[in-house]
Amino acid sequence: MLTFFRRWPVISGTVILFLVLTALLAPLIAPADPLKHSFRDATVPPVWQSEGDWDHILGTDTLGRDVLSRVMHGARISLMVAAISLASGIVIGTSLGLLAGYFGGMTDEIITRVVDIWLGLPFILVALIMALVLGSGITTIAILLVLLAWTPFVRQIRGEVLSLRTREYVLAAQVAGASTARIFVKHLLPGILGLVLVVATFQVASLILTEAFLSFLGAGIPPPTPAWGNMIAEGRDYLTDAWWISFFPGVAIFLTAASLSFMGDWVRDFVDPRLRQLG
Amino acid sequence: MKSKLAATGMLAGAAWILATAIGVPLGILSAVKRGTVWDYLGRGFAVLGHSLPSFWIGIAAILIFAVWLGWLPSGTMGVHGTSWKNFVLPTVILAWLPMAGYTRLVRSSMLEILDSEFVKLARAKGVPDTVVVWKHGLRNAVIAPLTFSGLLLAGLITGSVAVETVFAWPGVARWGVQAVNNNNLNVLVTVTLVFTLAFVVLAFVIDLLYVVLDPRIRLT
Repeated sequence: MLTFFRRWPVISGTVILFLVLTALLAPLIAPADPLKHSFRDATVPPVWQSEGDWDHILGTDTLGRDVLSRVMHGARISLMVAAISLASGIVIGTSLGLLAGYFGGMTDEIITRVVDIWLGLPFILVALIMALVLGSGITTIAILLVLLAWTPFVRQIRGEVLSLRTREYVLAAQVAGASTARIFVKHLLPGILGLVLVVATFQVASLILTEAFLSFLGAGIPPPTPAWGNMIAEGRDYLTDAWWISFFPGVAIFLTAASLSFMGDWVRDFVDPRLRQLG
Repeated sequence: MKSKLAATGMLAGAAWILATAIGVPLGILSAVKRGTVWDYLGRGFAVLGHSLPSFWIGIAAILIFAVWLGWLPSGTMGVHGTSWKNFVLPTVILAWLPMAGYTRLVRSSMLEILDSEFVKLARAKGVPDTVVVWKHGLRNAVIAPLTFSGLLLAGLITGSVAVETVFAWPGVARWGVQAVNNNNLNVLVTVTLVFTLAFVVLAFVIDLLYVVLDPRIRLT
């Protein structure tokens, strides 16, 4: 039994599956409308406290909106934004990594330098500037996260391609006269797919955390749209009277990020045991 | 501007010291006592550090220590005079992420070094365990975390934005966040430049530190 738990990421897998289902089905299964105001029901505490009631299991916020429903809809927004930016990040990052690793020379030099400079920028502050210039909204936050998402892919894949391109089967393909496009798609891409998956799993966690942070600062997803970050910001002023408004979205963020990080470790070991860290 | 810089600098400096003071020993401990409670503590801590957003633990800490227990002020420096108590919560929260990073890095580089030939030789010669760990091991293990200092610095900048916002700390980062809400682009650009400059200067100093700590590296 214990080996089963060690072997397969049962807990983190369950949490992630639950999260994805919640996100997909939120409009169907959420107990209430996340945007419906009701001043009569404002700041109802969670059900286990003396004044709580079963209509609002995790309580309501200052406008009487159901916290549980808002957290569920927040999962939808978070995952949607993360998925869009991750997909674009994978495409951009993998292509550039392939180009840099395969061609080397000037191409490699330029791409690597751009990535280095990019990583030197204080991203959060640049994001704040862009949110100010473009105006905050779902489109802006998606663009911002794409800008953050692509760099790790370039670095990791470039390294892997550097070693792959000297392998015999790639040399053989070159000698046989295969076109560059064919070598990329048929010979290099299958070799790096596992690595892409590993980097992607870790990236989702950091994208979700960044999205939440930007929404918290007021530069991400603007209220009243429910997002974990802006819920925490809204509840901040009512900590003494209604701690649950800020508390539960934070729990959601933590569970998501921790599960994804465990899952990332597992995927890395599964895809390539050589990458396993000591311990 | 000057007082804001001082506020941010003091907080970040204190956090960095705290992160090193706790993260490095914890990493060593979890590497040396691999597979024991200490190891799980260190590793669990590293995961927690990466998954708990600092703006949220900041709020949780205010709720627990300032509101419920009433032990510490909720941050704000200088309103009723500044004492060490004002520093406790913001410093710990800001140090949280770099601390987890240090623990993880020191642990993995320490494990690698304890497995290397010269450590085995030292052990075979009969050098006591403490000396092996602290002299042979540590001197080599501190270099790996240094290479990640750039990332840690970037983490401190992001962390400052979070912590100064949550604790209403009168520093540069909060000034920048307020500028977002006031639509003041000039202030925000200034703040970004200040942070970038600090980042570049500190990264340069760290590069110089390499040479001091590791004689094998020479600047050419």
